[in-house]
Parts: sequence; C-alpha cells; structure tokens
Amino acid sequence: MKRITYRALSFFIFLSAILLVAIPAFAASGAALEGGFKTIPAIILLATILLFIVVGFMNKAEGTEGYYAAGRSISRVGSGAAIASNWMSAASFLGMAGIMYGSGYHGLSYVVGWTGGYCLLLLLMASQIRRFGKYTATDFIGDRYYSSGLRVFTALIAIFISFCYCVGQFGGIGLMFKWIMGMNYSTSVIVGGTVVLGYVIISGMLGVTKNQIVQYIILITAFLIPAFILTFKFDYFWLIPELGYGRVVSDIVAGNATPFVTSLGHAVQTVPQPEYAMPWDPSTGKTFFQWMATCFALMIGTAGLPHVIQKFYVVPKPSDARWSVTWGLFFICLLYWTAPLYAAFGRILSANPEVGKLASDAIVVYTAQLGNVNPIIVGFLAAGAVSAAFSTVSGLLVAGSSAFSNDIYYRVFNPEASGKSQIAAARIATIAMALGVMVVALLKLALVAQLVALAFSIAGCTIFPLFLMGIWWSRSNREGAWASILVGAGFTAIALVYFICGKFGVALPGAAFVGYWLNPWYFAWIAAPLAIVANIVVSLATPDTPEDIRKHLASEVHGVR
Amino acid sequence: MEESKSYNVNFFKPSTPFLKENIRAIVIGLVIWGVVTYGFQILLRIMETPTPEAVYVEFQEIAPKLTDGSASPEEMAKAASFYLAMLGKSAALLQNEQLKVAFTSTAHNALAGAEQQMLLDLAGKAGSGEAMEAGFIHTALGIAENKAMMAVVPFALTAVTPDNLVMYDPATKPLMDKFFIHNQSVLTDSIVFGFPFHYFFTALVTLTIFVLICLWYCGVMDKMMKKHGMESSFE
Repeated sequence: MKRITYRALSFFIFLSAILLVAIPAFAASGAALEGGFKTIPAIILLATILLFIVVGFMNKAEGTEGYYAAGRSISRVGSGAAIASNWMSAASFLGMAGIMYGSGYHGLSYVVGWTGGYCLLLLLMASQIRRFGKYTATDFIGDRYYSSGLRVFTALIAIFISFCYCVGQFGGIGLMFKWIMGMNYSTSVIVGGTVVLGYVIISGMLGVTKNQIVQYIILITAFLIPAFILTFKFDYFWLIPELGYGRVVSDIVAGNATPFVTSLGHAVQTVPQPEYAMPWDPSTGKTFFQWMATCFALMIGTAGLPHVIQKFYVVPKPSDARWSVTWGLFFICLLYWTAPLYAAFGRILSANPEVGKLASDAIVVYTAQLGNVNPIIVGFLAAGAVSAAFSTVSGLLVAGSSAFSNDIYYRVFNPEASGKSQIAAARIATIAMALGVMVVALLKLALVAQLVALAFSIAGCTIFPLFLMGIWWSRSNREGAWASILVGAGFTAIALVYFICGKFGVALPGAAFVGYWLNPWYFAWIAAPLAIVANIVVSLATPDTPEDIRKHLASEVHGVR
Repeated sequence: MEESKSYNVNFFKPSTPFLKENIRAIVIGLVIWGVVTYGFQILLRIMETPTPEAVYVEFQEIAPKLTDGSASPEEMAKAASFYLAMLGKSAALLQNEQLKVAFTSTAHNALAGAEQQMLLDLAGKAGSGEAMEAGFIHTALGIAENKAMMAVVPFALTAVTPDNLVMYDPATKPLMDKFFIHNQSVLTDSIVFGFPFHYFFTALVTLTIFVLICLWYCGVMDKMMKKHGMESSFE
C-alpha cells in the first residue's frame, strides 16, 4: 500500500512538473478563443487524471485477481460502460463533430458507421467469440487457422492498427493540451504524449475495467452538460438537446435570424447554407459513393478491431457478451446522438468571418466557448476529451505491446523468455510505440477522425474477414486465411503508399483513381469483400480444416452435438 | 466420413434446429440493419433532384445583363447581395479575389453619386483592420436587417478602380454551381422536430434502430438458448 501511494505521488509530481514547465511556453496564438495558459481547465485535467490513477490503485488494492478476473466480476451494464469508454476516443469526442462541422452530412457517415458496426459485431460474432474461448484476437486466429505464422502476422497487423489509431488520439490530445496551455501544436503533442506515456507505464496493469467505468461517466457528463447549456441559452428545446438542435440545423439551412449573440458579440446567424445539411453536397467535395463506402468500412472495421473484440473474452457468459454489446451500444449512442449538436452550434456560432478559420478537431471546445458556457464547464469538456483519448490510448498501447511481447517476442525470438523479460519487452514496446506515434502525430497528416478511420479500414479488410469466415464457415482453412489476410494487407499497402506519396508530393500513376476509390479512410469497402472471395476460392482449392478444429467450432461455438 | 460431415459449419446450410433459428434471427437483424443504413441513403439518392437556391436562380437571370451592362441599379443590388451570400458560405470562398471584385463592382454600381466614391474608399481600406462604416451599403443592398450578411461586407470588399470593375466573371460559374445547387427532395425538405427529415432519420432514427435491433436480438437469443437447453452448457 505504501509503495502504491509512493507511485501515485511520484506521478502527481511528474505531472505537475510538466504543467509548470508548460506555463512559460504560452506563446499566445492570435485567435481570441485560444489565449494563454488556462488555469482552471489545467487543474480540472490534472484532477481527472489523478482520479483515474486513484481508482486504478483502489481497485488493485482490493485484490482482484488480475485483469480478466476484474472483468468477470462486473455487471452487464458495467461492462457495457467499459466497452463504451474503451471505444470512445478523441475521434468520437472531438473528431466526429469536427468532420461534420467541415463536411456537413458526410460526417454522419462516421456517426452511423461507428454505431452500426456494433450490430454486425453482436449478430455475427460476439457470443460466438466468447464460446470459442480464447483470450485475444491473435489467439483466436492462431488456433482457428492452426498456424503460428498467421498468428504472428496478425499480431503485426494488430500492432499497426493500434499504431494508426493512436496517431489520431495523440493528435486530439495535442489539440486539447494546446488549448489548455496555449502552446503550439508540436510542443503540445510532445507534452501530452509524455503525460499519456507516463500514465500508461504507471497505471498499465491497474484494474482497467472499473477505471473505464469511471472514465465513461466523466466523459459522457463532460459531453452532455454543455449540450444542455447551449440549447437552453439559445432557446432551443433543451430538455432533450438531441432533439432540440434540429432547429439549429434548419436555421443554418435557411439562414434564419435569432435574437442572440455569441461570446464574441456576433449575431447567432449564418448566411443560408443548405450545403450543411443536404446529402453529399457538391460543395463538400464528397460524393454518395464516399458516404456509403466510409460508412461500410467503419462498420466492418468496428467488428474487426482487436481491442474491441478482446472485450468479449472477459465477460462471464456468452449471454453477457450479447447484453454488454447492447448496453455498450446504448452508452455509445448517448454521445453519438449528441455529437452533431456541437457541429451545428459550431457552424452557427462561428459564422461571422471575424472568427476566422477554426481547427475543426477542436470545434467541440470552441463551440462551448463561443456559446459563452462557463469556463469551468468548458475546462471540464476539454478534460473529458483528454480522458476519452487517455482511456483509448492506454488500452491500445497495452494491447499493442502485449501483442508484441506474447505473440512476437515470446513465440518467435525468445521462447524461453521468463515472465520478467516478457514484461520488460512489453514496456520497451510501449515506449517505442508511443515515441513513434508522437513523431507521426507531429506530421499532422489528416483530421483525427480520418486517421482513426484508417485503422478501421485496415481492421475491416484484414481481421474482420478472418473472424467472419472462421466462425461461420468451417471449410475456411489456413491457406484461405493466408490468401484473405494477404489481399487485405496488399490493399492496405497500396492505399497507404499512395496516400503518403501524395502527402509528400510524389506523383504516382493513377493517383487520382486510387485516391478516390481506394482512399485510406474507406478502402475496406472493396478490400474486405475481395479478401472474403480470396478466402473462399483458396480454401476450396486446398485441403479441409482438420477435424478437431471443425469439431471445436461446431460443438463449442455453434452447439452442434 | 459420416462423422466428419456432421462437424461442418456453413452459414448458408445450418445443420441443427438451433443453428437454423439462430441464423434466421441473424438474417432478420442484418436485413433491418442494411435497409435502415444503406436502403435509406439509396432512397435519398434515387429521389433527389439537383435544386438551385432561389437566390441563384434569380442571379442567373441577371447575369447576362451584368455582362452587357444593361443591369439596373436594383439588379446590381440583387447581384451584389448574391455575391455576399456566396462569400459568406465559407472562409475559403472569402479568399476568392474574382468573387470579391464582382461583389465590390456590383455594389459600386448599385450605389449612386458620392456613395460610389465612399465605397471605393472603404474598399481601398479592406484588409487593413480599420473599422468600416458600411451602413450605406447595407441600405442600398437591402440587407440592413440581416446581421449575417452585414458581417460579411468588410471581408467581401476589395480594392478596385472605376475602370477595372468586373460585374460577372464566367470563370466563377462552376464554383457557383457547386455552392448553390443542392441535392434535394421531399425527404430533405420536410421538417421533423425542426430537422430536415433526412438528417433526423440518419442522425437519430438510424442509431435508435441499431439499439433496438440489439435489444431484440438479445431477447430472442436468451429465449432460444433456454429452449434448446444451451444456456447451461456454456456457463
């Protein structure tokens, strides 16, 4: 207990030191909404992070028997909340509103895609995964397809997915630290990244699930309170802000006048902007195809993300797996029903050209500021965004580093590794990953939601087909799985190479074609179906799955007796 | 051989009564999911007609007169307020010099006498950050009640001289088409709880149906598990 207090204290000192170092760095940026160091939000942020650590330690001190046992003692509602907080990251909290603020109706493909995926997960996979009885996504693939090579390859892909996912999160953390401390973006990414890394290393093995419930409560409260305040202040139907903001959308479309002013003294009114709400409006540069492809890629990506799938192994029963998905989806929807509200208010409150160009990814916070919401509540909102990113990043870094230490280091490089050296390998992997993510986040390649969408597309065309076919077709064998994952990985490589070359000004043949049809945010729309076809064709041309695996699949997973 | 056959699992050929029922439930869920998500968007796509905004239709009638110089001051004022509405749509458009020249030119011609010179003086100061007294422009363009439009004026002006006025540059037409023609239909024009209906359906109803699909499936599966005596064997 003494040692725990000591560690919590040392982290507190570390965190305060970083924040203190940051104070002189407040090179105030021009925009009136940015300003210098914000004391109250900084204190709220500090308190929130501390709360997570304290809850983590208390949970550990109660003597839970490790990570999995902790999950198994929690109710369906509780594990639903854990699923929701594990799921909702800076992309949900900041990025979705950002993309709607910029591209209007197109942004709704993210809202629908990131919720509808749970239907796929529940209908096709959740309880079956639980009944298969493994602990991680790589375990499932290694066992179902009886191939340790495939297990290692999947582990590499899982690490890469975690990496891409984290890049988006670090971008969000950077933006919020920038806002709170008034530093430039690069310094903020480094400071924020260091804090999150310190947090993960110190709290990595704490009682994760209970912590996630606390994180969910904080982030949903932080997100909903300003929504009530905004609708109340501007005289919309505030009892259910999710319905109340409808008139805001109509006011934007028609350019209606309102009697209110923003915190900067501007009228709350825009010129008529039907492009904000009309589907695939030409002015947004997004087409019908892109809406559908993005939505579909995000849905199958949801059902293929290792850190999402892994949640189902830790519930006590298959029926709990199903109910916790349902609760999880409901808790997720509480935020997703509300996110478009921030985009709409953001549009109408920042309509005056004097406001200038705002960073879309911070629009949630700017909106609250423009709406003259109390600074303490705005600070809480920013802290909520950081905690959304923290909960996801810590989950991803832990998942990525354990994939490295269990599936790659232990199985490939050093089968005799002791538990201690495995943990050391995991620690090093965590630090290496965090540093790599930080560097890539500094490049600011795309919006937060888009970077995260990339991770979904990769998961959707590599891991999702393996789970889908592995569960529902016993004939799908090792060779078919290899074909499937190679097709997925091949498409990923093409999309990424074109994207990166495009970013650095290298012209490749057919760049326009690939940029449109195999865009990194949604290439899974075609890559996943082709991976499934490859799986079927190659499986049929090669020997059947061994009987013991078919037997396990049929009797344990599907109840054939 | 007989035995190994019975261990085959195929989504499309369920081998036991439990699997048959399970897969039927899954298919029902998937169909509802697909229709709600993609069916609605396809319907939206089928029903839509590219619809220009009313101000754009009006502007297109005036545009030829702007080119041949036969537009009346009232028509100049209408054109100017159209340009203003366009420039106000996005920060990127506010960087478009052709549009700003067109706005300043039409606003100039909508005014008379000394006010024309006042406008040119104001436009000369554009971008300097000095406060602008643009009340006479608001009155001439008939936007004195519209705060959103008035806010754009200082940003829409750009320095011009009386001999380089360009009222309409045909090169800007594609941009106008892009910003003033929208995919509309009865689905986007009906209002529900203040929302355009399609927006309401996609942003709120779709998500709610997802939750309902999950609730329904969980209920059905719990019953099915009990019926086939499977709940216990997995605990």
